[in-house]
Amino acid sequence: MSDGPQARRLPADYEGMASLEFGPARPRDHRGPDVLVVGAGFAGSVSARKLAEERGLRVLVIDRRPHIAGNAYDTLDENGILVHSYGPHIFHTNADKVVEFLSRFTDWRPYEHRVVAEVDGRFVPMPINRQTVMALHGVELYGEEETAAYLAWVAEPREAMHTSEDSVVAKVGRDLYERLFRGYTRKQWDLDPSQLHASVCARIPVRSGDDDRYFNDSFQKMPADGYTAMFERMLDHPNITVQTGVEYADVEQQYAGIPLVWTGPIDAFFGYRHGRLPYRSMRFEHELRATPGGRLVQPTGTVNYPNERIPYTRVTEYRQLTGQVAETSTLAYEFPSAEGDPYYPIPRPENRELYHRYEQLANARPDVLFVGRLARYQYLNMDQVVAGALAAVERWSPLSAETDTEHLAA
Amino acid sequence: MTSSSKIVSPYDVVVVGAGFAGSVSARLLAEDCGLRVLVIDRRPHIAGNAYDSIDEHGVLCHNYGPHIFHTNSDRVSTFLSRFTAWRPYEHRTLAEVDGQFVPIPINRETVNTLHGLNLTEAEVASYFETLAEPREALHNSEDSVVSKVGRDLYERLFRGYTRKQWSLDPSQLHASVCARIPVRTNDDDRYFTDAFQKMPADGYTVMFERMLDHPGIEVQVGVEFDEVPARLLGERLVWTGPIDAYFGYRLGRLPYRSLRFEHETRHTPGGRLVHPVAQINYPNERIPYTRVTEYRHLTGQSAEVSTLAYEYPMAEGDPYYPIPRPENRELYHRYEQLGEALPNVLFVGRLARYQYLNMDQVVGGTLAAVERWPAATPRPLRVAA
Repeated sequence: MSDGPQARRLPADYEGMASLEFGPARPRDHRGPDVLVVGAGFAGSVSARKLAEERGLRVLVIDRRPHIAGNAYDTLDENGILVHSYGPHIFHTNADKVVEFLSRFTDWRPYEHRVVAEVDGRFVPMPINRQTVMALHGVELYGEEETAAYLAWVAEPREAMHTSEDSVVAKVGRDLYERLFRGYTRKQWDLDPSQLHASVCARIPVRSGDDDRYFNDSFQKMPADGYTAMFERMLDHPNITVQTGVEYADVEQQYAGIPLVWTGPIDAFFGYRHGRLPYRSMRFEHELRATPGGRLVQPTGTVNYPNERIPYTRVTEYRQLTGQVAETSTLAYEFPSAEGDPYYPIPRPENRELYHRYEQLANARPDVLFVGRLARYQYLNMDQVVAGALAAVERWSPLSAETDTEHLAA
Repeated sequence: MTSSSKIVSPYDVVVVGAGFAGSVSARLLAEDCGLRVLVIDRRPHIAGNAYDSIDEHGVLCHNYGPHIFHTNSDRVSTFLSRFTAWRPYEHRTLAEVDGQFVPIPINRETVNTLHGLNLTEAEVASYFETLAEPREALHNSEDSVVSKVGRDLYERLFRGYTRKQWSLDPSQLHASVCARIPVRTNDDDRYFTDAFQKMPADGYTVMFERMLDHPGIEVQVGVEFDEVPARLLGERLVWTGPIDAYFGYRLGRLPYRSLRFEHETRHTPGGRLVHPVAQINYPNERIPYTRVTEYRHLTGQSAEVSTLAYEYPMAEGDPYYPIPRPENRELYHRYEQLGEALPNVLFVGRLARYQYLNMDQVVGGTLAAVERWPAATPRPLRVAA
């Protein structure tokens, strides 16, 4: 087995999970699985659970990586600190249905994410709020109305929002745009905001009050024992078998003809026949610090560095997210990069167009369900992936619960 | 017949370099000794690295990086005050560390912020003692910092900065380099503690113009020493360039650390300032520059724009800092011996002494050196042959 609980070191809280096994497919049945799920991240694991539980199907989940949980994978590093191996994942949602589903597999720890950005010798709250404006412009603003009026005064009205530069400058003016958005965006995407669709930066709110939470969602909690433990429980079902460290190409022939849930890149599924969909990747540098007495290193979970001369975009202290108490603390420096694992679809019209050509190919394959960030070539938060997978599996018709149950009974 | 058909130079002394060492020498030699002085500089301006000028946006900048004047020497401030009025300015520096800004040098607030404490002055002193890792001997700069403030503050505030500044680990640098930096238990957040902390009211270049404005002084800029016709060279020379260059690098080159500056202009409607303090240090090694300075803080200029200078330490470029390694000091001493054999050549200033010197130290050192220079006698020095 590639990476089961034996390979992973679990924190004390995880002990109960340590007996779970994710080994090679258990040969419970000579007929093999009814459905193959490619990818054990949110999209794949949610789909697998739904199919196994509600339709009584035997599901084989494979993942090329040596672990489950996809990019949400967390693990104890060599110093005993719970880290998110693929960068910080902060859970937040407004969807009751998502909370209800995930809560079956985890307890929660309340956590409201806060971010400050380093700008010219100051740290200011992000997203922009009253404090941000006052600190960077050296003005006193009393109350939300005055702040809103000030922002309206510095804003540069735009007739139409063509690019992300338009959408920010129209809201907060050129100075705040240049100091908080331009450099960060250039580093993140290697594209100027003027080359990115208006919607990319339009997502980021601007607040005239003092709310300094990064998200507004009604539900802001982290899985109490981490993401991997939550995924272990989600995949712990008699009808589910998990094999990690397995490439789809290795099992494609073996399971040819059975329905498939594909959560990898959509272009990869079709052999890149129309060309490659570009992704932005990330590289993380972890740094361990001594924190006697369990103190924290940073004032907030994440610190952003918009300055383009600084090569990383942000630094996250995992212990703030996880609530772990320890005499050391691990920081993650985030370096956007052109090469590496696919993280973010690049929001350019030509890429969207290329995706749509692949989507047409996908539409001709009712036997394959395409779900998740990579298969939809779209930036999606975790809760959006869960909700999307829940809905997609419900709508998926190539195998109905009825027919399959009959089949099983026969 | 007169055997001396030799053309006599119109100058009694040539001063090479129009920075602090050269300009102060020139003034003393012209004024006190009545000598005719020619000052040359290879750059197209006077004032050396202290040169300041108005950039294309109208902001007064220090072209070779921030120069903040401070001294405890009455003699130095009295001398310079003849050539400039002053603007009071106390320099303050913050360092960016893990999402917080803390005062540099380390003071009570620095420790309280970085260690999440709320210690009083008395408590901070004993807290340092608990942090400090005793060293039997201070062999290098790591020793000198760790033995004062412990490993955590050393790593977060000193190690990365020093590595960037020198491209050497503190463990490779002489103990004295970092030992200079004070550690305070109170809330004093001034970078310097000197009695005199003021900036030339009209800038450095103007101060140098007045210093060199003397009937006995002629200044030629944009001139290399090699280009000076032999007939103009008298017997006396003041050399403020690199000492190894004077001797044609015959014993090898003395290494220097250089700097590159990136200037950035910002709109500052209403004359606001961009930074909360003049200088922000970035000790983090992943950040390529060491510090950022906002000139208007230093100069007191009011303007609707403001210029920031990002400072990148470099291996190549103009010589800025002698590299404080024992083998370099040794090489310098060999050049110094060559210099001592030339009584009519005065070696003064940071480059000629291969030593990090503050501006006031250069002025003070030059005042003393010229006074002691046997060749600095009212002319004529030479006896007609």
